[in-house]
Amino acid sequence: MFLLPFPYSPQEVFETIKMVELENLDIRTITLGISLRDCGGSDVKVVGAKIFDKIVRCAANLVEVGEELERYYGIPIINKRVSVTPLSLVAEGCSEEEFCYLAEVLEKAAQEIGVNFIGGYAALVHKGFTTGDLNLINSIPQALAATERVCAAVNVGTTRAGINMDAVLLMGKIIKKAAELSAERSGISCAKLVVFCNAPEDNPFMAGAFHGVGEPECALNVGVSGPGVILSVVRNNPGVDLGTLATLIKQTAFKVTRMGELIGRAASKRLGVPFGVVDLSLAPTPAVGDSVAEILEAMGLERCGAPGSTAALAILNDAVKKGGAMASSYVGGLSGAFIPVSEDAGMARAAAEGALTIEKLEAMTCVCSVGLDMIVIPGDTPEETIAAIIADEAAIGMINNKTTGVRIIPAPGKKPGDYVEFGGLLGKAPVMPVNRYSAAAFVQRGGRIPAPLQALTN
Amino acid sequence: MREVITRARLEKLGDRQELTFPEGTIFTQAARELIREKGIKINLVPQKSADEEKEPRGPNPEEKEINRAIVTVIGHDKVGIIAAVSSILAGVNVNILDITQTVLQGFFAMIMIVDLSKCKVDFLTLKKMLEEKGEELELRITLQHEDVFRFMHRI
Repeated sequence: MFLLPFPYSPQEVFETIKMVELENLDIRTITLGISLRDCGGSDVKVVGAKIFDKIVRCAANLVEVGEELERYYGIPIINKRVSVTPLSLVAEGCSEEEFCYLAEVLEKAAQEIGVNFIGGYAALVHKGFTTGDLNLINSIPQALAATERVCAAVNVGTTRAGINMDAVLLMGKIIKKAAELSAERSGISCAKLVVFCNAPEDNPFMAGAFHGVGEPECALNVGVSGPGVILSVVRNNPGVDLGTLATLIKQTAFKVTRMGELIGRAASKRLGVPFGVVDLSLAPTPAVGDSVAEILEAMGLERCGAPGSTAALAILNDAVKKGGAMASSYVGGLSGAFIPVSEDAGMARAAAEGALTIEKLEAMTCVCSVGLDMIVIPGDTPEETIAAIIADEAAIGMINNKTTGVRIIPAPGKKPGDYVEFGGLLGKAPVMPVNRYSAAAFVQRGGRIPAPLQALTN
Repeated sequence: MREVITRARLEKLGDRQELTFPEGTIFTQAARELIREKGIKINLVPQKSADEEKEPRGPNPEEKEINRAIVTVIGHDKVGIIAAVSSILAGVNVNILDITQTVLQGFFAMIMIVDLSKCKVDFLTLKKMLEEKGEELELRITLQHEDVFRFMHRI
């Protein structure tokens, strides 16, 4: 075999080694989407047995394959997870108690295959509820309190359908109740519950992952990460103008995403399932240096949340997408920078110091991927206020044709300034103050916010 | 379709049993835990199916396709680095295709491209052997598949 000239420069080789060893380059998640549409039936025990069998059969060696690839390529894969068809579609005829039973089945299946989260305890109600949807949503607090690994999502709006305000108000209630039922753990159930507008069908990231109706039997989706790698590039180029900085971020995002593509293809081959998408998200962790807030600060902000934060995030988010889109043949999911508060040490610090407020976070969600994520608010926040926060965020998603979500935790008994610790990747965060003026009369009107002009594209 | 063994299937068994399954059987994570707890011994026997799958027998079909890897060494220069690394590689029948060395921010840095197609041990074992050698010599030695570099730096 001839090799002339040497195919990689030493700089290239050591750049890769450095990314993996020093800058926390990792694959955030490989998520196996599994369709449960063939698991329906009239007897909930039979449905449960079918669901358990199907998940275990399809994902039995997911963790094993993931660990094998980690060692093989030397790149850590932080999470191996499973998402399933929204359960309200699979078990439409179930009562609240029966849905809770199915949540336990999901928990058992997740335990059996060794995944830390399973997503798909979900309902899509952007235009209205079916009886099954309502039963599932009402069962969420109980189901989340009784399980560790099950994640719930509810889609309350889309650009094409508008926003179901009855669902928004109901979710305000459900979030409060979920927090109360897990009060001894500061309302941790709410960390496993996302309210979406324009929810993507192939999102690999928890807690909002589910396997959409247009998806195949099984599909493997990959979520890349890499705030640490981007942070290092930004830090090493303090004086460059923003155009040049965007280009540098773009080039780095390309490299990070290529690793997602490589691992995704290898995993789908070994598991014998089709490769779905790479989700080009910058997903932070509570680890030092693995923070989106720190990137914004390295770009020149004294603290994340300062004026300029939205612009800086817009540059970052766009550059990550441009670099990533070129690197993968199929891009999907959420694809953008995440700005969770508790899961990002830099965000949590900025919030604790008062630099970052919920209002600023809301503005920032207009230019990045997800929404108000992992925000802890006082436990006595009224459910109508929570519903109004959801409505604001859903409106941003609806009008801007993008995904937005709300994962907010009204920590029981906590006041602004208190700290709440969830542990692990969920991290810890200060309780953030919420605007004390009421929107109760507005959200109680109910009904449906009509789809905007943006929906009329045909 | 390969068989999947769940925890429930092993739960009724007593401790320290010996079981035989066809090769390629998948054990779930929970089943693996139980196997460890109960000290169950699992024998995997090669399966001769009528229409012998196209999968060739061997350590891992993947290994056949990707047969090049990159060895890097970083640390303080000293006598015998190349000798130490190349003797490990020669010992397991790995051919060195190319080698380059340079000084990076004051550190000695060596890169080798190696051909693993005739390697006698699997990738992970070799990786471990090299890393252990690195610790012994106070150097950082890594082994990475060429794919990682190809995907990252070439379109």
